[in-house]
Amino acid sequence: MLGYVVPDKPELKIREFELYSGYYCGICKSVKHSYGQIPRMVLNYDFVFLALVLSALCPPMEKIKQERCPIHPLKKRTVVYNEPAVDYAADMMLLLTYFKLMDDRQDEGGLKPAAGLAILKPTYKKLMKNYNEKGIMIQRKLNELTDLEEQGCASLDRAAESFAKLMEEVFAAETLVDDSGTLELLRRIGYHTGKWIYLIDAFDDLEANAKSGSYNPLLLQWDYQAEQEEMSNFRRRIHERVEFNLLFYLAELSKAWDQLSVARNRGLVENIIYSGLLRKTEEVLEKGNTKDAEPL
Amino acid sequence: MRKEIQKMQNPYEVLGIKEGASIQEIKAAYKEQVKKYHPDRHQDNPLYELAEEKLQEINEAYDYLMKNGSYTGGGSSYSKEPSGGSQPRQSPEFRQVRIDIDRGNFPAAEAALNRSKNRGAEWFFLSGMLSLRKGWYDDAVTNVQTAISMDPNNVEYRTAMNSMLQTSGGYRTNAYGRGYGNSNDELCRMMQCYCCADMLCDCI
Repeated sequence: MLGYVVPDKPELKIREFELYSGYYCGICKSVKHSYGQIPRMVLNYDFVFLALVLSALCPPMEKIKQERCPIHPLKKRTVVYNEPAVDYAADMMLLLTYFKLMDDRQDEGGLKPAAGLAILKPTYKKLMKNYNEKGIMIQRKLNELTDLEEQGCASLDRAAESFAKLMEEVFAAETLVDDSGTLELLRRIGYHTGKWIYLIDAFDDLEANAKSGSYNPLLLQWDYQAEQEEMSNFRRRIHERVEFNLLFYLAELSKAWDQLSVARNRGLVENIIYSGLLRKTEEVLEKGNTKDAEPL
Repeated sequence: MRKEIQKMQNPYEVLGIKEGASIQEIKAAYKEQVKKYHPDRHQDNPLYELAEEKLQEINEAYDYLMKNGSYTGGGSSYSKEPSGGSQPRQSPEFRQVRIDIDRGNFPAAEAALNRSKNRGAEWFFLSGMLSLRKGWYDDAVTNVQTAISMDPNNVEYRTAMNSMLQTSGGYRTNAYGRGYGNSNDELCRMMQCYCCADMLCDCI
C-alpha cells in the first residue's frame, strides 16, 4: 500500500473534501487512541479509501468534530470519530506496517526496521489477538510474495496474485459486515485494488528497479535487456498492455462497487474510483513520454 | 455473449481516418471524436443515448486499432473476413473443461487442461478463459491472442477478445459518462497543480 489510491481533488465538493480529510485524521486519531502516539507515523491515503468503502456499507453513527492536533497546530481540522470502519482501517494499516518492517529486516537488516519492530511489538500483539486468522492469512500472502520475488517470477499475473489476495483479505471486514454477498463484493474490490496497486507501482518503478537490478516482474515478462534497449522504448513497448490491464482492474473494481448497496459516502468513493484512480493511471502511464519530450 | 457476435465496424471508418493511419493520427482522431460525443455535451438532450452509443463504438474502434491495427498491419484483414466467419470449432475433449469454467470449478478445469496433449487453438482459448475468470487478465489476453493467431477465423475467439477490450475501454467511457472528463485543457491542468500543492500543505 503506497498511497496511489487518492481522490481527484478538483472534482470533489468542498464538503466531500472536508469529509475525506476527516477520515484521514480519523484514522490517525484512532491509532493514537488504541495504540499511543508513535505508530501514527505510518499513515497512508490508501487506507482512507478502505475506510470510506467500508463505512459506506454501515449505518451512520459517526461523530464529526473540529479540533486541533499537535501535527497541525494552526488550523482546526475535521475529524471523524466513532466510526468502526475507520478503526478497522487503522488496524489493518498497522498490521501491514508491522509485516512490512519484518520483511525489511529480513531483506536489509539494519537498525531502522528493528527499531520499528520493537516499537510496534505491543501494538502487533494486540492486533493479532483481535484479528488472529486474518493476520495469519495476510502474513502467509506476504511470505508467498517474498518467495515469488526470490524466485524471480516472470509472470505479472502470478506475481501480483499474492498481493491481490492479501488486499482481498484486508477489504473483507467480517467484523463490520455479515452478509456473505456483500463480503464477496468487498473481496473483489480488494483483489482488483491490489492488482492495480501492484502493477502501477511496478510500472512506476521500472527505471529504479532496472538500475539497481532489483526484482520487477515487468522487466522479466517483457524481457528487458539494458544494453540493447532504452528504458523509454521499453515503456512504450509495454504501454498498451499495461494500460489494458490497469483499466481492466478498474473496470472490475467499479463493477463490484456498483453492485453494493451503499448508504452514504457515494460521491466521495466514486470520485476516487472513477476519477482519482483513472487520473493516477494516466499520470503514471504518461510519465515515460513526458520525460522523452524534455531533451527537445 | 451471443448478442455480441455481430460484426465489428471498420474501426478506421468509425474514427473517420484513412486505413493505415499512424498511431499519432489515430490518437488525435480518437481524442477529437471523444470530445464530440462526450455525454457531457449532450446532457438533457435527446441525443444523449445516441452519443453514448457512439462513444462506445469509438472506444472499441480505438482499442482495436491500438491493440491490433498498429503493428500487425492487420487493420484491413478483418474487412476481408467472410461474412459469417467460421463456425466455432468445439472439440468434445474440452466439453467438460468448458462446463467446469462456467461453473467456477477452476482447479478441475486447470488440471484437465494441464493433462491434455492436444494444445491447439482451443486449448489456448480455454486457458485464456480460465485465466479471465481467475482475474489473470494479462494471461487471458496472451492466450486468446495465441488462439486467434492459430485460428484467425474463429468467431468465438475474436468475440472473447473484443469483449475483454470492451471491458477495459468501458471503464474509461463510464468515467467520462459520469462527468469525469479527461483534463486536456490547460486551465484544468493548472488547477490540478495548484490543488496538488494545496493538498500537500493541507493534509500531511
